[in-house]
Formats: sequence, C-alpha cells, structure tokens
Amino acid sequence: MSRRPPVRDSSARAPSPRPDDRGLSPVVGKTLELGLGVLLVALLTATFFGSVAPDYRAAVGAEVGDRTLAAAADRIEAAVPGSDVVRVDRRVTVRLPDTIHGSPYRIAADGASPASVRLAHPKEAVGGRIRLAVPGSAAVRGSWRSTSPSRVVVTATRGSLSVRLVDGESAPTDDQRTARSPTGGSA
Amino acid sequence: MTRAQANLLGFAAAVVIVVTVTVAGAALAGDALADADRQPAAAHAADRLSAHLVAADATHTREANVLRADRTANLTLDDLDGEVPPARGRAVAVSLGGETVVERGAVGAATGEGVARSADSARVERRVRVERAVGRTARIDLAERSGRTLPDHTGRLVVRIDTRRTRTVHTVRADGRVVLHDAAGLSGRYAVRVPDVHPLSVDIGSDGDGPGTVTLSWTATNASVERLVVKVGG
Repeated sequence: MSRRPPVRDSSARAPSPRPDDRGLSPVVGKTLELGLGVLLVALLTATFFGSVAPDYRAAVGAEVGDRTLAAAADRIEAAVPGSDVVRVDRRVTVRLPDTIHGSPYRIAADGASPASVRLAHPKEAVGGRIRLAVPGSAAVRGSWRSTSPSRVVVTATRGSLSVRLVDGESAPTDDQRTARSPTGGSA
Repeated sequence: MTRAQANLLGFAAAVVIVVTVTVAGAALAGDALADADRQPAAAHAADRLSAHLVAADATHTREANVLRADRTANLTLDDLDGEVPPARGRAVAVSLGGETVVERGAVGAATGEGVARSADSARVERRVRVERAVGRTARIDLAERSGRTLPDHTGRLVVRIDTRRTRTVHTVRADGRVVLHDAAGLSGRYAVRVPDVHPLSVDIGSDGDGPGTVTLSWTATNASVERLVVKVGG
C-alpha cells in the first residue's frame, strides 16, 4: 500500500493521491489490523459462549445428575438394613449438590415395586431413574429438594420396613412422630 | 519489504497461534469430558450384583465369598433380577473362572484386561472360593483291616455293612466316638453324623472270622480360588 508508482502526471489524473496522502497508509493498515483482531475475538467469543460452553455445561450437568442419583441410591441402600431386622430407627444425612446445571432439582421415590428413585430437573437432559437394591418388603416414599438438607429415615416394626426421604423443613414433625412411635426412637 | 507488511505477517502469525491454541484446548477439554463419562448407574448395578453374588445370605453361597459350584452354575437371570433390582433390563455378563455363568445382551467394550470401566459398561472383579462337592467311596475288607482314615469329609458319612453270618459288626467309631452300635450285629445302610475333625479315623469293631465288607461313602469338598467377573452395560 505504501509502495506507489512515482507521480508523473498529477494534472492528468485529478483524484490520484498527492504525496502528503502517504501518511494515511499506516493508519489504514492499523485500523484494518484492529478490525481483524476484534473480528477474531468476537468470533471466538461467539463460538465459545454460543455453542461450545453450553454443550459442555449440558454434558457435565447430565453426568453430575447421573452421579448424584447413583450416590443418593447408594446412601439409601446403605441406610436400609437386611430384611431379617426386627426393629430399626435410623436417620442418615445425605449430601446433595445444591444445583445441577444452575437449577435446583428434586429426587423422589416413585412408589413402584421394585423401589426406585427418580431425579427431576427442569432441563430434560438431566435426570433419570435408578432401581434400589433394597429388600422387597421395604416401602420407599418421600422426596428431597436439593436446596434443603436431606435425610433418609428408616423405621422397621414387625416386619414392615419403611424408608422415607425427608427434607430439612419437615424434620421436627418427623422427629416428634418417630419419638412417639413404638420403636421408641431416641434421636 | 516495508514495515507495514512485516506487521501484517506478524498479525497473521498471531491469529494462527491463537486459533490453534484455542482449538487444541477445546479438543483436550472434549477428551477429558469423554473420559469422565462413567455410567454411574451401570457401575451401581454392577456393584450391587457382585455384592449379591458373594453375599453370605444368598442361596448359592455357603458363607461370604464362598460359592457352591453347582448352585452357582444353576443361577439364572431371573434369580439375579429378583435379588438385584438395579440389574433389571441391563446387559449383564457374569463369569466365574473364565466360564460364563449368565449373560444377557452385549456388554459394551469393557472386555480388555485391566480396563476397570469403559464408557458404556462397568466391570467388577472379585476373587472367590468355589467349593465343589465330590462323592468319595472307600471299601474296607474286614478280613484284612478294621478301619480307615478319611482325609476330607464334610457332612454325613454313609456306612454300608455287608457281612457273612460268621462275622458280626457291632460298633462303628468315628474319631474314637461310637456312632453306631448294636450288640446283635449291624447290617445294611446307615447315614451317620460324624465329628467335624480332619483327618477322621473310622474304626469298625467286629467279631468272628468270616468275610465282610464295610463301604464308606462321604462327600469331600474340592475348593479352588476363582475370578468372578461381573460386567453390566447401560
């Protein structure tokens, strides 16, 4: 751009640049460079925040959801004793991630037989259902919200094994009810 | 070459480097994410299934980590599904000592040795003791000897006494204790409880000098340590 043919006949070509225009060429060059740089950064940013990052976030969210559900199932199964136990009154705290993919979620027992728990999340990609390896006599009920402390309450009397998923808010009533129960639970 | 074009070349090189590093970073992140995809539900099912297979209270085990070979070989998928709900509806492969016990569906690519878990299936490996019941028989000719030592019996001992009229078997002792006695003479087949000592000496007390045989039948346990491999797919 800076190498121009020497001006021979300036009067014949009126719009041809005069020698004092040459100072402009570095400015134009720099501006073009700057424009290209901004364009590149904009392109990269748009690619990452428009498609790559959300894809990764969704994939990681689904994976964390699967793991959370499996870990919750592990905790429930560990809290349930064998089917030959006569009396149990047991509370086990379960730690769950507060949010998955930026949103709170629920884990609920779906009352089917065999017992299973389900993770419900606003995003469709996150969630699932897992069967529990608990004795067939165990009735699993209740649900957890991820934002409040969660516990498993296991009570067994005369062969009926009850497993409840309890949130923190309902804890006092649950404790009172259990304390009055024939199991004589001392929390 | 003038200064402005040198700038342009430098700029182009910078753009290429930035784009290359970015693409390489994204590719690395993609690989890391693929490696972190673990199928926790399949792992959960495989864990529960292997725990049931070696549980002390299962019907095919004698105690924890000790499997009865005959009952283990007769395990069916329905048995396992009933005992281990997480495995229902999943591809399952259980093998004991390299021989497949039960199989359903195609269990992913976790077949390579040393691969603990692949992307789409979980594998749990345990060392177990496998016990096989082996029937053994020994025949005692009463004209020649009056007893025998059993090296490896479990459970009951079956004694079959067959003598001529000139010989009378009146007592059978196991480890010095009398397990059978009839002063008038024993004859026929008897199943007796014997002390659980190894080796066990069995002595036959008999009178007379005619020919006679006593046949002892017992069950020996032939045990080996095998590799129990549980694979569960998605």
